[in-house]
Amino acid sequence: MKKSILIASALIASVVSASAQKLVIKGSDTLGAKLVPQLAEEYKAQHPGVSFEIAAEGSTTGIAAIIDGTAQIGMSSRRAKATEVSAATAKGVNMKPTIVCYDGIAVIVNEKSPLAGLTKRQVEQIFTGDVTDFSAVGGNAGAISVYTRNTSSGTYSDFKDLAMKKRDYAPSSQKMAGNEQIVAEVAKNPNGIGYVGLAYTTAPGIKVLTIDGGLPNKETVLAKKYPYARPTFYYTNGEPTGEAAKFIEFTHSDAGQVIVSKVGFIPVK
Amino acid sequence: MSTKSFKWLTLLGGLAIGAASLAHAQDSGPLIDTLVKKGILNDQEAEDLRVELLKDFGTSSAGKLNLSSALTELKISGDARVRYEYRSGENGKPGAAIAAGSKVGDQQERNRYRYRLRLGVSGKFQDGWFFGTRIEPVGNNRSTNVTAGSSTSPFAKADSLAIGQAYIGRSVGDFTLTAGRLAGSPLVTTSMLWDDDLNPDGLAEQWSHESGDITWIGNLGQFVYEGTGTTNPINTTAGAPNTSRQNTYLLAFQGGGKVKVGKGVTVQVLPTYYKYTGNDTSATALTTANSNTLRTYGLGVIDIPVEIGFKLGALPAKVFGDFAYNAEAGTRASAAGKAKFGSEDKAYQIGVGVGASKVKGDWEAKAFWQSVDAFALDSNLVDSDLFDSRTNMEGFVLQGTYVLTTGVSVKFTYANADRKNDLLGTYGAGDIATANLTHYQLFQADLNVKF
Repeated sequence: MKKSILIASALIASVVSASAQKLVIKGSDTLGAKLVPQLAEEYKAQHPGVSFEIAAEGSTTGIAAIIDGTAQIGMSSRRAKATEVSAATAKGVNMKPTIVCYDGIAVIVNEKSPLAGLTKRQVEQIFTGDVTDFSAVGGNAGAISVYTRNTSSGTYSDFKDLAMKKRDYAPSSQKMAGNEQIVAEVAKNPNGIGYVGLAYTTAPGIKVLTIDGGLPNKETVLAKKYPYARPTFYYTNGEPTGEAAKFIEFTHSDAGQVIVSKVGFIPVK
Repeated sequence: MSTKSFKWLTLLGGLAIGAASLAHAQDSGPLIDTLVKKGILNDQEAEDLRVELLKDFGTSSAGKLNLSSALTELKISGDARVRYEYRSGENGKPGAAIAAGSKVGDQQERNRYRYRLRLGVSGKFQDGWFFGTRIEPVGNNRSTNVTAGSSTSPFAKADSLAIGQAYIGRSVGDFTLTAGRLAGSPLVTTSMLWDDDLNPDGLAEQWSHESGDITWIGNLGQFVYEGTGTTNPINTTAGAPNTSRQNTYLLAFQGGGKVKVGKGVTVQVLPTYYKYTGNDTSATALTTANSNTLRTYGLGVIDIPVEIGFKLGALPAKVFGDFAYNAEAGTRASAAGKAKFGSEDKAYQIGVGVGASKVKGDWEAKAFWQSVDAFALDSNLVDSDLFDSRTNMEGFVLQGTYVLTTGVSVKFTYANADRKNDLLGTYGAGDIATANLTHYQLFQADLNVKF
C-alpha cells in the first residue's frame, strides 16, 4: 500500500512538474514566426525539460491570451490599446509590457520596381487608396496591388497609426496572414507593395524602400529617426514569474540578443 | 538630487498629471516620448508609464467609452424646454365665409403646459464625411412638444419617440452635400414660410464661397414631400383599374449673397424659388379652409429673404424682411373654389432685432409685422405657433430672450393677428378648432436648456 502511494505521488509530481515546465506563448506573427521559436530552441537547449507551445496568430490574440489567462507570455508588435488594458483591469489582470527588441516596419516592393523610395505622404496615399497607380509616385505605370496584414496583426494596427494617420486601408488592399505571405506576394507581383518587420526584409525578390530618404536600420530605428520604428513586446500578467521570467531574462541576455540580431531585429542593448 | 531620484520624481509627476487629467491619458504619448528623448526615462520605463496611465484612464468614465477609430469627432447635443402657452382664437363674424355649423363670434382658449427633450448625436469622419441623428418626442412634423395632462389617465406616459433627424453628408471645399432627414431647412428662410421644427426628407446641396467683401451662397433642395402613394398599384377588381399616384417632391433653388457694405454693416439677399412636382394626385381639392389635404395645388413660390446687419452701440442688430409671391395662386384659389381671389398671392414680413443670446447676461429682442395672403404660401410649412399655422392672417410678433447662464435661457413670445380677408377662410390646420379665425393671440413663456 505504502509503495503504491509513493508511486502515485511520484507520477503526480512528474505530471505537475512537466506542466510547470511548459511555456505557452501566443500572439504576434512578427515575433512568433521567427524570433521567438529560435529563442525557444536555444532556451530548451540550455533548459532540458522545458517545452514550448507557440501560436503566432497576431498581436491581438497575444494580448487577449494574457487577459484570458491562456498564455504566460503574450507576444505583441504593438502597444496594448486602452480598451484592452481596461478589459484586463476589469478581470484583475495587470498588463505588464516588456520590450523584447526594436523593429522598423519596412515598406517593400518587387525587386524589379524602379522605385527606390517614397515620402511619408506617398505611403499614406498608396495604402489608403488615394493613389492607385505607381506612375503617380515615380514608378512604372501599373495598378498598385497593396498587401497588408490582417486585422488581428499588431503591424496592421501600428502601420495605420504610424503611416496612415489612422485612416482606413484601401478597400482593394489584400490582407495576408503573416509577414512571409506578404513577402511572397510582393516578390511575385511587379506592381505589389506591402510592409513587413525588419526580420523579413532579406527575402529574395523584394527590396526595401527608403522613407523620406531613410532606410530602417539599427541607427535610424534606435534614434527613432525612421518614421515607422517601434518596440516589440512580451506582455505578462504582472511582473513575470517562474519559467516566463526566466525566458524573458534569457531574451534580454547576451545570448538572446545575439539571436535577435541574427533574425534581423534591433537588440535592446 | 541624484539622476535616479530626479527620474522617479518625474515619473511620479507624469503619473500625477495623468491622474489629474485622465481624459488626456491617451494624449500623453508626446510627453513621454520627450522624457525618453531627454534621457529622463528609458524605453522600458516609458512603456510601464504608458500602461499605468491607460489603467488610470480605464477607470475613468471617458475610459469606458469605446468609440470607433473611424470617427474624428463625436458630439452629443440637445435641448430641453418647459413652456407655458396661452392661445386664443375667435370664430368668424357676419359677412365672412363661415364653416357650416360654426358659431359666430365664439372664442376658443387653450392653456397648455408643455415640455420637450431632444437628444442628438453627430460625428465627423475623414475626408469631410459627417452624420447626425436626433431623437425627439412626438412624430409631429411641426411640433416636438409633449402636452402635460393630455391623456385621460392622470400623469400617463403615452409619449412616443421619433427620429427627428438622420442624415449623412460630405463637405468638399465650399460644397456640402447632405442626404436623409435633414437638420432643418438647408435654405436661408424665415418662420413666415418654414416652421423651424420642420426637418425635410431628401437631398440638399449647399455652397458658400467668400470672395473679398462678398460671400456668395447657393442652396438647392430636393425634398420628398409625400411618398406614401403606390405609384403603380395592383388592380384588385377586374375592369376597375386603381388610380395611379405620383410621389410629390418639393424642389428649392436659392442663390444670392451677403455683402459687407461698411464697418459692421452687412446686407444679405437670397432669392429663392420653391416648386412642387408630382402634385399628389390623390389629394382632394382645396375645398375646405381647414383641410389637411391642401397639399400642393397651385404653388410656385418666389421668396426673397433680406437681412441688414449692423451694430447698435456694442450690440448686434438687424432689420429683416421676407417677401413671397406665389406665381400659381390663381390655380390654388380655383382649387379652393375661390377663383376670383387669385390675386391673394403675396406675403411679407418685416421687423427689427437687437442683441444676442449666447452667454450669461445676454439678451435679445425681436419684433416684426407679418401679412400673408390666403393663397400665397404652403400652409403645411408655415410656423405652427405664431399665426396658428394659417394663411390669410396679418399681425405682429414680439419676442424677448434672456440668458440666465450660458446654455440656459428664458424666452417670451407674444403674437397678435387678425384675419386679413374676411371673405376667405384662414387656410391651414391649426390648434384653434375653426376654419374661420378672425382674431388670434398667442403667449408663450419658455425655459430652455441647450447643450
